[in-house]
Amino acid sequence: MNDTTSARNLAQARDDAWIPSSCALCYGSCSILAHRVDGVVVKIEGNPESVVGKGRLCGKGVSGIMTHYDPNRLTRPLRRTNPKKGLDEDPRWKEVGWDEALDEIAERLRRIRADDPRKLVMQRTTTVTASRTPMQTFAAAFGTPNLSTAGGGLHCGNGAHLLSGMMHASWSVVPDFAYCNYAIYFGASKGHGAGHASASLMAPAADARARGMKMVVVDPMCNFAAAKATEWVPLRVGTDGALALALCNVIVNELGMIDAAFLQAKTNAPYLIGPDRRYARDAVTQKPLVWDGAAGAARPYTDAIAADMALEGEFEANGVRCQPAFQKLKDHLTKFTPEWGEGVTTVPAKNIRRIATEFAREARIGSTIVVDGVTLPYRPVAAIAFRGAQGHMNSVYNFYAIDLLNELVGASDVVGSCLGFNPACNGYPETGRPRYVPTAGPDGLMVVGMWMGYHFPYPIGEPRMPRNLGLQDLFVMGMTSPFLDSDDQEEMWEKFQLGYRPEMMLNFGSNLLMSIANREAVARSLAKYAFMVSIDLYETETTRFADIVLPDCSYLQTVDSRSNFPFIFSGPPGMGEWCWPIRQPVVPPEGEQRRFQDVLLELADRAGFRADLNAAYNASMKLAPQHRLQGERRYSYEEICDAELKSNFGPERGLDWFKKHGLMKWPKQPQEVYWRPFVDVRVPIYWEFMVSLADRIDAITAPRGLPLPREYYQPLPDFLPCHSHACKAPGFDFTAFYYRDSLHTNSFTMENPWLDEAARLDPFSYAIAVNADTGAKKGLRDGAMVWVETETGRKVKGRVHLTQTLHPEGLGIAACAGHWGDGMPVAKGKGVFFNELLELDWKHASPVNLNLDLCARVKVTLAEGGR
Amino acid sequence: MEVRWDAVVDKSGFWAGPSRAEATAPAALAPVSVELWLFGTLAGAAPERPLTLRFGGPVRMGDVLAALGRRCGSEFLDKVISPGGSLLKHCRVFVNGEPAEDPAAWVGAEASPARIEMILLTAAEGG
Repeated sequence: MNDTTSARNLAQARDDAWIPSSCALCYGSCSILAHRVDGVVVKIEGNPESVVGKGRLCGKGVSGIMTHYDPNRLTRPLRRTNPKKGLDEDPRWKEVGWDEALDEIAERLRRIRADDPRKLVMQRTTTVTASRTPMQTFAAAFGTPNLSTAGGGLHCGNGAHLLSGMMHASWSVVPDFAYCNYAIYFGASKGHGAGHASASLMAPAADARARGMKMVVVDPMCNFAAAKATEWVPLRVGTDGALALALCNVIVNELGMIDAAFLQAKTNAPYLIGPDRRYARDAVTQKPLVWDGAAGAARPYTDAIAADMALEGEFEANGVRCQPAFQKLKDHLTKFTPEWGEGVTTVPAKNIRRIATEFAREARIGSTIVVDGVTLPYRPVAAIAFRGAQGHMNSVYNFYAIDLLNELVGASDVVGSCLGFNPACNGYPETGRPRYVPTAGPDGLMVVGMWMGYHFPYPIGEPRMPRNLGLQDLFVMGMTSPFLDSDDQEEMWEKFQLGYRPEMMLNFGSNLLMSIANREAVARSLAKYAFMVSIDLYETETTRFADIVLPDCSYLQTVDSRSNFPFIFSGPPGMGEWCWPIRQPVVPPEGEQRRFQDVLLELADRAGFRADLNAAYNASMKLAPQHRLQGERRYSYEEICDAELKSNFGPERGLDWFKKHGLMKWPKQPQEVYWRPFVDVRVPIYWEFMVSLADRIDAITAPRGLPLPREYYQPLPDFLPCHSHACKAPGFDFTAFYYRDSLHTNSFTMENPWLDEAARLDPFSYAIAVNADTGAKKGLRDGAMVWVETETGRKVKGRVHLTQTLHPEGLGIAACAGHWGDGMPVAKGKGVFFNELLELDWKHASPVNLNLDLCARVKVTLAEGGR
Repeated sequence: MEVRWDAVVDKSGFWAGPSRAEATAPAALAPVSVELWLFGTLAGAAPERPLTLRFGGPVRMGDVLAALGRRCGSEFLDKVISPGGSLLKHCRVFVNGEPAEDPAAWVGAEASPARIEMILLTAAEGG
């Protein structure tokens, strides 16, 4: 044996492998290849075989190796010995064994479940998408409806997801980059920042811009999306809806450029509205009536040809004068003139007219295109929104008004238009799974085919005296609720005679103290729990309120069969391929770390509800009959993943097959991506259901001293100001808002030293951005240390960065920084804790969807020695 | 040339449901036995698991739910059925392992006793 052979054999004996898996540095969950050498992960790259990320990986994903190997990660279960809980209380941890910890938790669970399972509150982080199914199934099996995602939803999605679901049957919306020619972004960064399908969309967005797609970004700040846009439209914080309404008015009343055929066939625009603002209904079938121009009579919408349905005019039906919903909308829009819009938003009226004209003209109403041999409507424009536009008191109307732009010109889930993320899937060809498609619900309006939870956007639930701590069963359009943590939670629970109080919290990875609002309010609510368990990677600020802490595995140590499912969440929209990747262990746990999914299974065994948990997995994963989990059998999470994969892809493609191949792909068909022409559903351009919904909620709230603010429950969108717009106190002349830094995910990644270094080099990440001209007028210099203070005295301190890329009235802070705990020492003291400025109560939440108002009027003063 | 939106809709039935057995009443009029497995928060509504219900002849899922309501009370029905009579979206029902959403669907034709499983999945979720 010569030296060369010896070296080759040595190399062959070495562990050297590229493992296909999924990232978890943000909820985009891009596909990765992790390079492991001799048991050590040495590099992480994007997986070019996968559609999710398409081989690209952002800076966070590449840096994941530093999160995994962070010496500050938890490795042992911990038990609190200090009974006092508070922001300044030391938990005085002692290490305990897993058996002791699990026994204590299981005993609590058993007792609470026998007493009233609703006393268990489950919280999970949105960063780890893979936590959704295990946490939802555990909650369902246990019997608690109280599951929340901390700041997720309250900040990012109560409006965006509600509206995307209602109008596009998906969790979010995005331009169809391959064909879109004109996109308006309202406070969104799709394809240019973090989050949903982030890396997957970067190349399509860049290619679209290179191809000539005009991109107009409406945002108080010119950052991730606006910096790459054709045009940045700065506007006053929280006024996106006003701009959208003015644009709609120009399109409808000045230009008259609408897609009448779309409105007739695919919306409720032709439904007749009576003087009571409700549908005129057929006396026999109770179906909404339309005016059938061919018959010269009012007929149920199912009985008339769409082309014959009147959109404008006034008609008599059921003995009263009625108008089509579109006529109502058209008349309603007249008050939102561009000049009015300029006054509210500061966007010049001439620009509003120009943008509206460009949008309507580029929509090419009436045109078609052939994609893969299928003739389809072609509307290459899109208006999209996300966190920036929807994160306010007027969250619902903002998003509603913005989406009307799409609906008016028929740019909805067709070629080039505003697309939902994969609302319809015909399934893997060999099995037909997973298969879902929107369907027609009450009054012919669209019901999603797939959703992240089970609180569908439509049909709207029936309000009732609440049984949930979050009161979402009363405020039925709400998703994540502030009342799990709010200052007025007890007042609200008493008001609505809630017959129990929370007793135990089971938290997976969420740092509530940082992700919701001011930390004092959240701390008070956390301290009330008699018992709290936190499954974490680190000792976060929130972990320090726990009684027992369990060390979790990182994403490089765990397994998940559905790292990118449902496709409505982070699957790349548009044509291409369906792709189902998995997450698999690259390296084993260290110390006593355990996978949280297996910990939840173990707790169910010890607390005696494994049969319920198996049933919940069967239902949640929709397992095929031959792969359903049986009785009380103790499956590992790997076995459950194996069952799901075999259920969807056949018995020969279980977890072992996926560990080898990493993912399954199959081609998308035009009828799936551009499903709207092929499915007989309508979407509401007139929200008739709001009228009676407000009556029914008010019937419960008003007698209890909480009259419903009816202006939020109108069938057509309006502009309603935020509290910050109403503040006239002298000196409070900035509106503070936060934005998502593309370098960081929530409060999680500030601990990552590579990302922290990048953020320290970035002039914005850890600073307070102020318009340079405004700053100069106030005597602020770049780098000055200042206090930012609200009218109620909440304040944060930070260093000013002067910039021209900000609206003159705005004050921008990258969230969610400003850690103060010792458990994440790299993150500690970095950046500004914006959420400290936010109030957390009914008054500062949308009375429709419970979204928090995320802007605050502030004054800025130099800190001592600030110059 | 302007083309109407609905003019491009193909009638090939791309999204027609997968083929299923004809939903007709079972021919035999023999008594039907249904074994009900209630899970999660629904489990507390029944004195035992499984709960066995017997019917004199062919039975629809709605009949089973109505019988359950009589046994378990109106509070139980409130949790699973909307005021309009449809199954709530977060209430999942499986008949012999297959998902069942239509209260008008027949049960008990293939297996006796028919096994029905019900669970409420947690409704609210943000993020």
